[in-house]
Amino acid sequence: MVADDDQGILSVIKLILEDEGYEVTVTSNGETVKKVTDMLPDVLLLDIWMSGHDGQEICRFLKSNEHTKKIPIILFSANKDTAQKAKECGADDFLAKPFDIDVLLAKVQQFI
Amino acid sequence: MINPADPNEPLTEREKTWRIALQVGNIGVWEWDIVNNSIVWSDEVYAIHEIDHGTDIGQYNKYQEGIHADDRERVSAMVKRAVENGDAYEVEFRILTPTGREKWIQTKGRVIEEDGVPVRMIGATRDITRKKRAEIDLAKSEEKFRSISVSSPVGIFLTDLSGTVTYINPRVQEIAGVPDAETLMREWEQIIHPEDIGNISREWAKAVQEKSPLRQVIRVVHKDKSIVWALVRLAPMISDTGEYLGGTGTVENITGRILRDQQKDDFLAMASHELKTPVTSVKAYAQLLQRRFAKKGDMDSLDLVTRMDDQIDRLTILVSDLLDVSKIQSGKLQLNLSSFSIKDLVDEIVEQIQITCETHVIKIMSEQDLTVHADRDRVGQVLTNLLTNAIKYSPNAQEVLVTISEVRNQAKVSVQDFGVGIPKVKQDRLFERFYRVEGSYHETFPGLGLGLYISNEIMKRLKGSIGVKSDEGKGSIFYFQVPLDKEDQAK
Repeated sequence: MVADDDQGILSVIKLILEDEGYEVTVTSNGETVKKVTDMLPDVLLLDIWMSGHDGQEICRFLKSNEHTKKIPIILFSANKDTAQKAKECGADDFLAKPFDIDVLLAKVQQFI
Repeated sequence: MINPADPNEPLTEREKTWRIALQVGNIGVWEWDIVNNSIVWSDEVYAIHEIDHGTDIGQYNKYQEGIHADDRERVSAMVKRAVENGDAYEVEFRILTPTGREKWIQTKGRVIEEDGVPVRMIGATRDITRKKRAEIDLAKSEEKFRSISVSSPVGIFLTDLSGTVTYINPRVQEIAGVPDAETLMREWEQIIHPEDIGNISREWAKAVQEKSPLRQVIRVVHKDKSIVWALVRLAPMISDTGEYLGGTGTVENITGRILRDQQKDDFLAMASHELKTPVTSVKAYAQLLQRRFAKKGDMDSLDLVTRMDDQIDRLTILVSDLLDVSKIQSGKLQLNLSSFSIKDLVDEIVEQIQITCETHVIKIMSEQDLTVHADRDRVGQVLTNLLTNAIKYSPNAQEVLVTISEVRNQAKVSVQDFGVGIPKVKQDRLFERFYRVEGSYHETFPGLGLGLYISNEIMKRLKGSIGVKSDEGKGSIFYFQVPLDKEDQAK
């Protein structure tokens, strides 16, 4: 599952992952938590900043919830200090924007 | 009654000595017989007035004719008052020699009375032309300074040897919003913003002690509580003989410029964030296309997209730089420190850049391996910046040389190019924000002028340093230094 505010990014990541054979659901804005809880994806790619909703908060919430805490979360951000932020909220890995496709795929692969 | 002018009059030994003393001191002696209104001069007085010795001076009235027209009344009044009071006078005035030359003389005279009636006046005269001219020149020069100072659009101040402010012009008072000059000179430190006072006090003391220049931007809390940004500069005043005389400085109100820069920064932060989003998508699409073309074996199309990807990388760096600058300005640049091998990092970055560079060969000149303690990504960013600059600013050269060395407790990485070089005058400003070097014939090289500024800030934060050695026409060596890992330092 991919959570990001920007439609452009959502569609290209979807294409990339589908090309490699993954099944992808996209979500944005306020629906993330609900969708994750409903669908329990194998991996969640989570943007750190979505309008009005803090990605780190969402991450913390999902990680503290019995139901969802086992889901690996890769935190996604345009900042250079993404690594730091990922650690802070308990994410399993991080990805800096703009990203390299190979890097993205490798990171997703490790959790499947 | 002794006639000082008569050479035939017999003199005692003591009188001879006096006469010689008067000659040596160029002091002319004269006597005015008030009753008979006749004047007698010594040789020296004739010499001062440039009149032949022995000429009959005659009466006081005639004497007055030799006095400069503008001064006659004044002199006359002084003499008259002395005679009336029966005492003495001293006056400085101009005389005109027979050839019309103007001279300044100083005359002192004393009235001698007999039975309460003034009968004669005895006096001494000296030529003070040189001294007077000097005084006049000094007064003119002070007047000139004062008028420059008062009408200057920039605040001007002077300090003494101990750094105490001894003079400020009206503009300084205006900028500070303190109407009383005395108070401002004494207590200027009190109106400095609390966050800036530590810095300025320290730098001021250092400048005074080392007799070196100072340049600081400080905030002044204006009388109406608003903040005024001021640029203060202090320079040592050295006399012609090399003596330190104190300091001279300027104060300029740069609030306008600072506010405009702040606006620029706010805009940069917003713009770069907005830009990163589509850049991320475009990069992803480009790479997706590369993979698809590769899978299909369409190498021509793959090549096109690869070139596109390179441009996107360039764009990414520009956008990142914009964001970095706004972070630096708002104090939000974060560093992740770790210990790592500087040689490994140099190898990595050189390889990365060499892949996309066909015009130059980047050679690593030394194999020294040192462990440093710094932010690996940021140091990589600085090295990338120096390498891309080296390539960019030496379009007619073929090589760029990279050297690693150890200097005191730091690792030094130097990047040498054989391009246009940078004139000494511009070397100081290279690391400023928004500053770009112009090529010959006023070509400008592409880029935003932020790379070196950011590199400088990063090095500052890492407690390292960055610098340049360059000769116009021969090329430049840019270098940076980062602290060694504590364990490596001990070696």
